[in-house]
Amino acid sequence: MTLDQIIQGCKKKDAKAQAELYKRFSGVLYAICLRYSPNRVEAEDNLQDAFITIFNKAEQFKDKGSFEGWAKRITVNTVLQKYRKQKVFAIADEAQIEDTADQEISDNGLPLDYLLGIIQELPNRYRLVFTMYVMDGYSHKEIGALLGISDGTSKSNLARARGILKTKIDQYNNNSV
Amino acid sequence: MIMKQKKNIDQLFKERFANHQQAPGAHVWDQIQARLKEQKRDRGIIIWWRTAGVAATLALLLSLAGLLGDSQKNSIVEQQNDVQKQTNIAPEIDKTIEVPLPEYKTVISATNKDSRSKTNTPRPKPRDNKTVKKETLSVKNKEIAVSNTSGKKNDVVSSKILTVAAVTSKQPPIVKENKAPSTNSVIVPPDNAVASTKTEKTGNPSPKKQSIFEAIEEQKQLESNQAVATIKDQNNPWEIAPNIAPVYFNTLSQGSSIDASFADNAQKGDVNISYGIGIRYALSDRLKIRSGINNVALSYSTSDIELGDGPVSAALRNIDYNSDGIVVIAQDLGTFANQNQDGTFGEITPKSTNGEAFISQNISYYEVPLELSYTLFDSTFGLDVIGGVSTLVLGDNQVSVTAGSYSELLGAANNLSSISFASNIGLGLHYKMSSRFKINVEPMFKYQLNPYTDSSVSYKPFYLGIYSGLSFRF
Repeated sequence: MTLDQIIQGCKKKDAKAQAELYKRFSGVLYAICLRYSPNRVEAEDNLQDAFITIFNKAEQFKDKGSFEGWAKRITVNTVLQKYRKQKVFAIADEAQIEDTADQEISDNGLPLDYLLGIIQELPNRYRLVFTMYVMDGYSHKEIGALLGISDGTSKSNLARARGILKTKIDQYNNNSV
Repeated sequence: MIMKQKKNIDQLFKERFANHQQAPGAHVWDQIQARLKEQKRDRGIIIWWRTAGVAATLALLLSLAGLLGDSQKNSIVEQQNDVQKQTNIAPEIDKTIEVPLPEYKTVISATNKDSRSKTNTPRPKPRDNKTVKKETLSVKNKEIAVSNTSGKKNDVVSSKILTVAAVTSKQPPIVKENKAPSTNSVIVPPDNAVASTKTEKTGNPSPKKQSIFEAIEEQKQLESNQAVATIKDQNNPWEIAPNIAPVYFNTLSQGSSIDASFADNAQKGDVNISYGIGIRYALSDRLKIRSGINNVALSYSTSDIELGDGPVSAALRNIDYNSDGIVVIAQDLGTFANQNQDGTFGEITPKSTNGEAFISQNISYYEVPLELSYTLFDSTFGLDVIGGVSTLVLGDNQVSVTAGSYSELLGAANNLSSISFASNIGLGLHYKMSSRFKINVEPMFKYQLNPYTDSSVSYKPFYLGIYSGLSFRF
């Protein structure tokens, strides 16, 4: 099936088309869920929710622009909705945050799973801001609007996230030397 | 690939996750399929309800059209039949009132101001019977003067009337309505009418001709009386019923119409007022079709929430706020406590209030019901079974928060359908105060079919009202 056929089929709620859509996009959408969710189990739940929304809203897709982009946005929104109000389970370091953005960091072939792991370990808020800004290219303004926070808070959250990640990576690198 | 590269942290993550893809476990797809199936089934149920509602409405309209056509025919036919029966019954009446005839006639003429007593002259029996019988019947149908001047004869007259009435009760419509007045009333009939009839009769030269003319005359009178007499259902099928009802609102399954996060919170349905006017049309003795228009106010409140001030972007999605800036935010109780561990959810500042906080939704609808009622029994007290559908047009709606003495309107909910339906079922109890006035008390259960534009809302609202009022038949 071509992508267009799949999309048209999903608009009609055709089961075959839906299965094909899942096959094609579950990989990339699951990756998004993994980066945004605190652990694998929740990532799977969020993926489910995202696909249900995608299938239900398929008829609203305007056949213009990238379907993948549309599906990704739905996935991100699904996860955001869940964690915007949820409790933050880690207590953050209250110390002065220096922005470690420009500091060099060695990439010693850090395993992807490890990197994913430390992202997931971040408190919800920091993880969302970091992932949205760094990996998905949202601006601080957009992040603020979607999370209900100000630009400034988004920036400081980002700085905190970077700090935590760098500390962990440096430790990992030192340990593995 | 392993690289000893120096880059900053952003670059590191961005590059490594650039084309990140990962396959989820197989069970994920299974669960998605299961949920899709469930949704399909739920949708099917809703469609079934709607189709049933539409089918019921069509059936009502068709039967109304059909029976309306029929009933008009019926009343004419029945009238004709009744007239036929009247003339057919004649012989029987003959028997019952043969003997006391003269006295009867005397009484009637005694009420005439016109003292022409030609009617007292005895007439040849056969024609007399015919004539007098007709007189009797016509007199029965009008209100009869049971004049006080002849006590004994009163009894005679009333018993005659009763007998006549009893005999004519074989014809369904007439008697019931007229029994009461005829036995109890002490009303002077239009003397002129009686007099004129008498006059005409007495004016005719030959007895034979008289009787024929009289017969025709009486026939005409009978027909018009019959027309009057078949009041019961054919000519007074309409009923207008203003009503007012206390209405209790709640949900059949847990959920929230305001936000999914409130779905497991404690809720309380409120009692409000519905008022309106109903109109009923009797399709037959037992079946009535009903419609009308009501205004119904529904509301319920959700507790276990907390309040804060914050930007619109952080506020509840299903509400249209009146401002673009800072608004009052309502969220699940405990959200602040958890978020403040991290200290960064500063965008929503908690509001200090004294007293438990509630979020209330108030909705008003204009309701047009279309129902059928079937009468189980109908005497002074009566009982109907009622069922049908209502069309609901959304009026005002607002969501507000209250905490102690503080209260604030958040805005209107944007997930309510502007046109929705409800399916109705209930009972109608009535007390007949007179032939035209009834006091009605009708408890009705109305289940809303598609009140929300968002199908994921798990709130299943219904309302229960006791519709009471006075109705008037015309």
